[in-house]
Amino acid sequence: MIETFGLTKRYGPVLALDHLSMQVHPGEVTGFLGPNGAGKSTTMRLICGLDHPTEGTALVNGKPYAAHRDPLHQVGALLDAKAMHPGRTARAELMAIAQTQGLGAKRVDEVLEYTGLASVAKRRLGTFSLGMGQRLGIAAALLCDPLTLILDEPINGLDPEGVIWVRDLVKYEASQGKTVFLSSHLMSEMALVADRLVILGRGKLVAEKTMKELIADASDIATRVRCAQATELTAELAGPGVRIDSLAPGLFEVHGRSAEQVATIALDHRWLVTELTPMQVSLEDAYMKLTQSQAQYTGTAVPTPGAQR
Amino acid sequence: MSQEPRLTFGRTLGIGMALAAGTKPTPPVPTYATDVDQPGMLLGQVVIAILAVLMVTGEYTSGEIRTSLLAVPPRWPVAAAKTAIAVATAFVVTVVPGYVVTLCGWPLQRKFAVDDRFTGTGVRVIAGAGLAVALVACMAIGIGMLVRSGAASIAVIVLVTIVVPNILTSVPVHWLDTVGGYLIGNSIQGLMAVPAQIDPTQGVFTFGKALWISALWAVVPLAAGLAVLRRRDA
Repeated sequence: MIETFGLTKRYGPVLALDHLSMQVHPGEVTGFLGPNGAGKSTTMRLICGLDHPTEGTALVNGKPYAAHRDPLHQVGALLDAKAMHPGRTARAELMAIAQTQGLGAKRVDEVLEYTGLASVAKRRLGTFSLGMGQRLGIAAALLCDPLTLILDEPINGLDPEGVIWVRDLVKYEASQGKTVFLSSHLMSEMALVADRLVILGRGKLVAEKTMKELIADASDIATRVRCAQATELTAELAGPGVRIDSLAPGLFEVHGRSAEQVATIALDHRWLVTELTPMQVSLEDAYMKLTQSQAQYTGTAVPTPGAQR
Repeated sequence: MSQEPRLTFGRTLGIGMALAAGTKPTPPVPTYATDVDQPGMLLGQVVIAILAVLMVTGEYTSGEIRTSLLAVPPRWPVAAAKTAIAVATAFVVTVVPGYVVTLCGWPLQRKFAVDDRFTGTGVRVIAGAGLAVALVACMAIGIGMLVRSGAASIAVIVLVTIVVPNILTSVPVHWLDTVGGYLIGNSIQGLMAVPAQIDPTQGVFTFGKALWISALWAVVPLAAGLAVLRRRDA
């Protein structure tokens, strides 16, 4: 169980996190989504007591992280897989962590085996690839069999086998009653594992929804209409539960009216409709729509392949 | 830090022996390991200070500090453990070779020797040297926690222990000289001096005064470093 209450973090003039209040429940996988720089990692660092909040509090399993006497049994966190001593071997690194929590070599070997690192246990971490480092970070997080798992971009750099393994792992841990909180900026990845979603944009909570709710939102079908008399037509279409997004002069999208209804109204008024397209919204679109206005770092649109610049 | 204590140990032994062989003090003034091995002591302090600094800053360089603080969120035990190891190591690698040098140097200097170098004053002088280097290590840990960058911390230490004292003594202003005496480089001289030979006109403090001034040099940076470690984002 993770709870935050008005969690705020300011780095100099930058407001990285703005009064975030949310809950992450045990027994399910909660996905933490948001564009780059939205404040996902900051939130996780605040939850784990590495950074101190400017305002607000974060509780893990009912207490602030630092108040736990057995922190790694409470929370296993993968925050930065590179935060390891390059001169130590994988086994030595895990042993060092295990010893601070009163665990022995047996558990270290178990975790190395479980994460597929047994064969490289004696190699120095400086020689590890991104994916191997990531596996070791996951091993460190799982070491004390914690009640809550916090994983920041766990699939970064993993091979396909590793990606599938992480998916199975988080689902399994949640099924065991653990709290699993995992961040990503990839909706497609979350769609496969998450039961609930917390979506962040520019340090603010954008949405806190179950996957079911998001899918329901996504299955909302819009109809794209092109018509010279768009203004008159939209006035006729308006009504309770109807939303109209104007895209360009003479072009709009209508929610809450079917293509057939639009066509009937247009026919009644003898307005020529030149385009009438039902638009299925994908999960990816639903997420993009939620966070679009929140993205801080956006590239310029790339021309379609083959187009002249 | 696995290679370095041995290195320090060997260095103390080597330089100590060489100096013991070459020194011809006028009898009946007895000489002691730390007395003879002044350049060695300075080298030893700097080496120990650098290693102590790296014990702290190395973790910041690799990012390992986050792993450590996740495992030990109250944070102060991390600092306490590092300080304990640095202080104990510094003491042992100073005292053990110091005593061995005394032992080995004795036959070379037999005609000047007095028997009490293996007991009483001799032991006290060597233990004092160990204490001095331990306090330097303690200061270095504090500076490392304050500054977090290895290069910058070492620069601060070199500045405080070598550069500033040299500047102060080279300026012909009396009170600057007095100020220089209170820097750690000088204050620890009083810890490893032979009490009977302390010459206050040379700016060497008595053991008691040397102890509290040197202790301040060790404790103040350590306390500041600890306060900052607990408050700062990792």
